[in-house]
Amino acid sequence: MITTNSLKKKFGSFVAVEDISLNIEPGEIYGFLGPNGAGKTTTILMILGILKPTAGEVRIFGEKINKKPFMIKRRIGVVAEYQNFYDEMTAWEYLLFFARLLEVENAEERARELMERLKLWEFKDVLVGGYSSGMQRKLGFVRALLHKPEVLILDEPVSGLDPFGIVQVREILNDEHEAGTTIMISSHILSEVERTADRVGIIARGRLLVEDTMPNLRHIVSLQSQIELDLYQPEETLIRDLSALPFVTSLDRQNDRLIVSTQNNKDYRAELGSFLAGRGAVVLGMRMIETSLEDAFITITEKHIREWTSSELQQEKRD
Amino acid sequence: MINQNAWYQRWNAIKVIRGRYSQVTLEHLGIYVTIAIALVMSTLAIHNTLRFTERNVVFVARQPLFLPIFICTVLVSLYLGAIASVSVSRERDRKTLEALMYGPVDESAFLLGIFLAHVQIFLVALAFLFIWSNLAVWLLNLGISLEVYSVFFVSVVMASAIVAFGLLTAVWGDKTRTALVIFILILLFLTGVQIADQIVSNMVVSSNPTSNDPILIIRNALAIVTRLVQWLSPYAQLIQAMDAVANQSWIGFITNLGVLVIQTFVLLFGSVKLLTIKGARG
Repeated sequence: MITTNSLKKKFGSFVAVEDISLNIEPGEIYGFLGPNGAGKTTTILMILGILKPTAGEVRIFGEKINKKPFMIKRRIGVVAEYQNFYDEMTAWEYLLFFARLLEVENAEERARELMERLKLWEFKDVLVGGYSSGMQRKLGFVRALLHKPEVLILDEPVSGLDPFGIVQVREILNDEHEAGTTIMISSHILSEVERTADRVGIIARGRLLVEDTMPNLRHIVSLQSQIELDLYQPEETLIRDLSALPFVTSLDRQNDRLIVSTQNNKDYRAELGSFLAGRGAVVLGMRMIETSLEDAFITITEKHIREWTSSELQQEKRD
Repeated sequence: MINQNAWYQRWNAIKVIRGRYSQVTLEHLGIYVTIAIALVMSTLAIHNTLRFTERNVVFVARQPLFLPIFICTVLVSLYLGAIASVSVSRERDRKTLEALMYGPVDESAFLLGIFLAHVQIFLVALAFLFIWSNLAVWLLNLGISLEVYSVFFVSVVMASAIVAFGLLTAVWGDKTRTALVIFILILLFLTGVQIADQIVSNMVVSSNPTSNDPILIIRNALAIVTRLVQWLSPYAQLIQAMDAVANQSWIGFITNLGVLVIQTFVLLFGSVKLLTIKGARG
């Protein structure tokens, strides 16, 4: 649905984005992550046609955005990181203005439906300049969804929202996902991305480091898996024998709770369960401790930044 | 079913933006104050013309409505050109242009929408001037002729050129204040050159002027610059068109009209091109 090919952007001599080639499939939720200044917003702006790439191309719906901007843009909804509104308009006037631009059918009905969903209806006649940042963020969502876009591009979509607002937005995104909308989310709130994204792309210093599903990312990052075991009064011999199992790399005990580290090549819960049942142990609970997106993000970006810094230092020494 | 044709969609964007900016400008007092001041000055102009005619026992005052029309259209077009410039600059300053361009709006649709909005408002001002002219004709027993209607027509094209110039300065200047300064400075320069030429032309040179006479040198230099300015300045073109009409030189009138149309297109094209290069973010 969205494809970038060797996308590059230079501002003078500063390379903000270098060789970004990403691919977002139809109907998926794609998390686009990176540390501050990584080039996420620059990449998004090039995808939207707001910034012209120094090199490379962007295709949306199989077409280059600069060749068919009108056809493409009316099928995209955007919630930008920094919301910029006409402060002198009421929210209702603002939405109807964009509805006319987008030729939305039954515009008033659609705008009302979305405003009610995001609890903005009672503020429809308030000037947008008088809205809080969270309300403006929600208004941005309403504008982005007015024309039922096929693609949603969201840059920090829940920034400034209270927990109720985050839940409302999450419900809307789930509904859109179920309806087949392709969603690209750039966010620092990794727990939200982890909860919703089908695939994640991580960018740092203008380069795409990795692009994969969450399970594969965890596999890339973890050298081992961890299983949390709650046992009822385990015997010492049981624990000793458990740690001696061939697939167990280490065992950490916290009272009756055990953290069993295993090799990363498969899920060993079945083998553990069989062993414990054979020994007559009472298992109160067993769960796989998954590497969080935050851990994966930090590990991957730190690793690459260390490698770049090292090669830059070596280059400086040679010079 | 939405028409997917790009030109249709561009035209839709132009209409919506035109509608918004027409409404915003018409809801503000500024345009009405400007029209009122312009009509007051036009009234004074025609009053002075008639007093001169009476005092000097001149039975024929040629085209007494031309000067009032000129004053009114210059004032209103200056106001609209400045407002158009501010409109574009503000959209870029507060980054609402970027939000517009997330949707089916491109640089040409945005600028043409604002351009048409302000030309439309000029037509509203012209309607006031038309009513005033007819009142003046009726009260003062003057004649209204084809020449006057021709001048009304060419003033619309002149105002279009000034509005297009306002758009160009806005895109060029990025920030609102810079754009306005550029707009005013260039217009002052164009006017100043013509005034300076008038002044220097009337200065007395020495009885044996040589080629090194400073007044002659300045006069010659200003003559060259003034000729260039007369091609570049929409106001100068309007004056020349009025002269052509008064002298029944319709070829001259059409030439001036053509120059104004070309100026408008060049300025509009330049604005769109420059905004495309600079981008919505500046």
